[in-house]
Amino acid sequence: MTLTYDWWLLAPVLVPGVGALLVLVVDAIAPRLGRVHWALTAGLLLVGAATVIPGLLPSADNPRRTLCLSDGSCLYAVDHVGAGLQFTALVSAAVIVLLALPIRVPTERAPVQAALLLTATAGASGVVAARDLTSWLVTLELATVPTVALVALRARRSATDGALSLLTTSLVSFAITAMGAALWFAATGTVQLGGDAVLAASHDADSRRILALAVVFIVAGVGFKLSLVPFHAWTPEAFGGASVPIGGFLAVTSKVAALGALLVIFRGVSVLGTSALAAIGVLAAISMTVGNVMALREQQALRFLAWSTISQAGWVVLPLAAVSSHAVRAAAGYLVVYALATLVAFAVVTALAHSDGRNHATRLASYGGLLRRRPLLGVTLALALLALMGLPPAVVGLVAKVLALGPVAGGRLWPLAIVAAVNAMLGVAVYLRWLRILFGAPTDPGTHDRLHPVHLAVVAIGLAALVVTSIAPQLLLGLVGR
Amino acid sequence: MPSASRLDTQSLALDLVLQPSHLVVLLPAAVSVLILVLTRRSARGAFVIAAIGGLLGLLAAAALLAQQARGGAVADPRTIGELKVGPALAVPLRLQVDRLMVLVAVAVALVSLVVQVFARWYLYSDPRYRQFAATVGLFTAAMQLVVLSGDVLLILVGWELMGWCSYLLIGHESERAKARRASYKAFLVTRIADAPFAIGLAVLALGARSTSIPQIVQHWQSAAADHGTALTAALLCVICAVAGKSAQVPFQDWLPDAMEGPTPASALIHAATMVAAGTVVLAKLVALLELSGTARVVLTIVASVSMVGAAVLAFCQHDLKRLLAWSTVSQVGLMLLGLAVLPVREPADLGISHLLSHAMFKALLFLLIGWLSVLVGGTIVERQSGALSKHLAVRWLVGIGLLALAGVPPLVGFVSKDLIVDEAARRGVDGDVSARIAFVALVCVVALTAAYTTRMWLILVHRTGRQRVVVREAVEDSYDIRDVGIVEMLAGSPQVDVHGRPLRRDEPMPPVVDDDDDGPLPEPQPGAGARTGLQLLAILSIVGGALIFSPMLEVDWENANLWLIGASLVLMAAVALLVRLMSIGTVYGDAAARLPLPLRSSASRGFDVDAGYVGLVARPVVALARGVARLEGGLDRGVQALPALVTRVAGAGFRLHTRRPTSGLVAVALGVVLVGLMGVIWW
Repeated sequence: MTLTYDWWLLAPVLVPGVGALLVLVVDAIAPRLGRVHWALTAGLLLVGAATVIPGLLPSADNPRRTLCLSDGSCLYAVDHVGAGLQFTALVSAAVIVLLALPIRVPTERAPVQAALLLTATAGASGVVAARDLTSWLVTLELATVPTVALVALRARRSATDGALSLLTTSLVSFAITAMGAALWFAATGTVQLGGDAVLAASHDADSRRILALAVVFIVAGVGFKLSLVPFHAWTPEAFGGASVPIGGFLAVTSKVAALGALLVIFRGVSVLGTSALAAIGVLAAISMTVGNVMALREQQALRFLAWSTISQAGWVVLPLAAVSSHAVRAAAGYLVVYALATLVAFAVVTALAHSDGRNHATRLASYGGLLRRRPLLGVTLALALLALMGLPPAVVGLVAKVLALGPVAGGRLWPLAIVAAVNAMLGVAVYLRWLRILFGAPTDPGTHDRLHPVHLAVVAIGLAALVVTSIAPQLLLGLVGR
Repeated sequence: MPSASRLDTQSLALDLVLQPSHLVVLLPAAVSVLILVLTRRSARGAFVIAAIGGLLGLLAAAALLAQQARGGAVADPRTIGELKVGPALAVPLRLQVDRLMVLVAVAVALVSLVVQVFARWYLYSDPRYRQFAATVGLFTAAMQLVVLSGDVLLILVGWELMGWCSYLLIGHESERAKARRASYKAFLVTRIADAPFAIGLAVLALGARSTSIPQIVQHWQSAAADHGTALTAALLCVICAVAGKSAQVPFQDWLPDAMEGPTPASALIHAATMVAAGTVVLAKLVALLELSGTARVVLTIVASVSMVGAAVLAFCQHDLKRLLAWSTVSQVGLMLLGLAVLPVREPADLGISHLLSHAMFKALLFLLIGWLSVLVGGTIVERQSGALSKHLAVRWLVGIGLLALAGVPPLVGFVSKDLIVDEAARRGVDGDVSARIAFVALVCVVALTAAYTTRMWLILVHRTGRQRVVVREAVEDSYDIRDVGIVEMLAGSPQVDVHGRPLRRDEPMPPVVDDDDDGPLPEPQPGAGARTGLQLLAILSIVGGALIFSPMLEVDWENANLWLIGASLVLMAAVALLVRLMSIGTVYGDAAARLPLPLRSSASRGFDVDAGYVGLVARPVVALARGVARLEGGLDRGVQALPALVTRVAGAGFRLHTRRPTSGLVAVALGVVLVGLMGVIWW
């Protein structure tokens, strides 16, 4: 059997993957380097992101393939949307690393965390491009399992609880996903995820039914990673328990991997034009509603962000309920916008937790008067919340909401569109709660440390990114194709 | 000189962007703007602006008339340029200058000027004189826009503007509840009638793919055969709005109530502007009226019923100002009949000529009744009885106005009315149904008009009334504390102490002030300018009929039916004699006092049509509004209850999320079953 290799195309997966080994080797050679590992990791991730850039150009082939077998089928393919997702995963992971950099951890733990983070990112980057069942499953788990350890490594009671919750759910979900994969193989007789085998299988009544079960099982398994209700119970626990940047990793990079995995399957079955995808619509509607309603009463900032993630996950998969040529791009576009806004929100929370103390920063009430106390953080957080809300001046959020609703309205799924519209309204109430606190009476944290310069820089860049993309949303949405 | 080269002395054509027709519209509008901008508190300044603006407006109209007579007028001057609204509709927004409309413009400008000058005297101590003058200016501009407009969109603009201005003018004394109600009523009634107006004009304009009136007329003349129903519907809509603005049945009742406004406002609204606007608009579209028999019959019936009914009501009115108001309704009906019985394919000369004559004598009469009401302190019969026998200065003018209104030859009212009667008779003989209806109504109205004008005259010149007024003044004066002389008694008597003994003081007595108001006060009368204006209106009421000999009006006066004229004169004389007989022996010389009291009181309330308005329109609308408010309140309560509901749901959600891994696993299991079911069912 002969395989063709295109190392440049594989680089977004290989760089973080090999980088994980490199970090461990460096630690073995020169122990107790501490922050050097984080800096190295950030550099590696940025290098990985840089290798994706050729694929983002409009002139790039769509898709670009490698690891091709002699019969013409390829195990690895990156189209414009895939490249955008890879880029988002790598850059967001790099930002998470920068956020984690100033936080003091036991020096022997830093390289482990860095290596785990790199591994998970490699998985996220790989699953987007996987085109066969086995590598899809492996890379999906590669993106999931290290996150359990990352949560647990904070070594507090709440962190282990969260990690336990994450672990049990991920195990069950893996079982479901594996079951789905097995059914898929049974129905199509091949590990290829391409459309031809699916089309062939759909002609036969029996294999058609099995294929349907396979698809919904895979959706259920990936739904855990996307935090779709009812597979979401781990999310608030893990977010609340993990250190703040790791929460951000779960909220952003992990979601990119999940959506990438779902899109790979979706591309395969969308050729059928099946209404089974309406199951995704139902999950999306429930997720939005539950996430918003629960966030309305949440008092903890990190758990609030977890519920926000759950409801936003509903928005991310919402376009996929409609069989439409724009659905994939709409879902990816919404995810990119969500990723930016959430990452900025986590950056602000991290910066505040680092300077004012974690206990202070995790209470929503502590954000009172932040606009006056720390104007930069306040304005940035307000803009991020507005983007999640989908209201001007954060125009990019509004554009994303319209983008996500487009395929649903185009497919005439009016009940779903109405639920989404109601949730858009409810979401305004959710984020307005936090926004109002920002304007409210100030609370004194007791400690008044200066912001760490790295945090300051990340927050400032985040603010600039939100402002620029609100003026020209095309810059951000152009990441996932035009 | 550049200006000399631009003015053609032969035809008076002016080669400028700004034509006299523009000035006719713009000057009155400028008056209102200048008054509001330039004068802060000075009523004098406002008057100067209003008078000069009015005069210039009249001069502009006269210049336009001269141009038209010499053939130098621009037929369709541009205004603000064409509106670009797409290929389906051309909106040229041009004016339209033709001989009839030029005459109307002159009449409007003249009446407006006289009203402005008279209002300065009538509202001398009114703190809101400035606003009044400004509103009159705007009102005049709106009317002139309607008159000179060659575009239905411009008509609509002027029409709406007049509606608003009439609201302001009628409600000028807004501290009085009756004035407020009258202005609301006028506004709402005309508003409701206006609703079909826009629809009708839109149908006409969309059919012709242009809002230009000449193009509309041209298009529908060729398309009437194929789209007769659409044309009839559109014309009926327009007639409905015309009936509203001109106070024809069933919208007539706002106009007598509008008498709550100051008399100059009534003169302006009722003589030349608002109620005549309907006639003007129909005159512009009269060529289409010929094409739709239904619309013509409807117009005839509406106008006939209004004309006769209003004349009956006028005879029964207890308030002479309301009598004039009802006579306006009747006379406007006459104008509309003049349009309805028009000879086929002829311009609207009959209706417009009566509009012009009505503008002259009705403005005169309204202003005079305002003058008299200042003299005798009211417009009801009891006050006005004998007013002319005491105040002789007004007597001649009132006599001319009433004779013109009654249609006595050779006054202007006779000329224009007789032409309409003549034409109706001619076409009725030819077998035209509308003309026959119109002729019967006209005969009734000739008699009724003679009746109510005679009645008004007899009341005003009643001699016993004068004695009664003198007696009452004596009685009222006896209550005057100065006549009893208590003040003088107290001041003149020697001062005493508490026991009544005189106090010896050598203080000088306070000087006794002579009451020098015992002599007869000079009778209040308007200034010289206003009196000149009234005299001018009176002269025009006498000799204005001569206008039919000029080339400006093309009416068939040479073939007048002398027998018809004679018969109508005999009829009028008989009716006048009857009314005179009825008035003998009544307290106030009021012939209507012979009628049963319930009839009179009901007629004074316009046969209680107001209750019909309230019951048929106002109450249902208010009930609907209440219903909507209740529904909205329910929705509001529902929305208010949402936060509590969401909080409860969220509380339940928090109880379900136990933070233990097992509950999460249960949820995952349930989810898998759910998703599996959905997948199998929906595949």
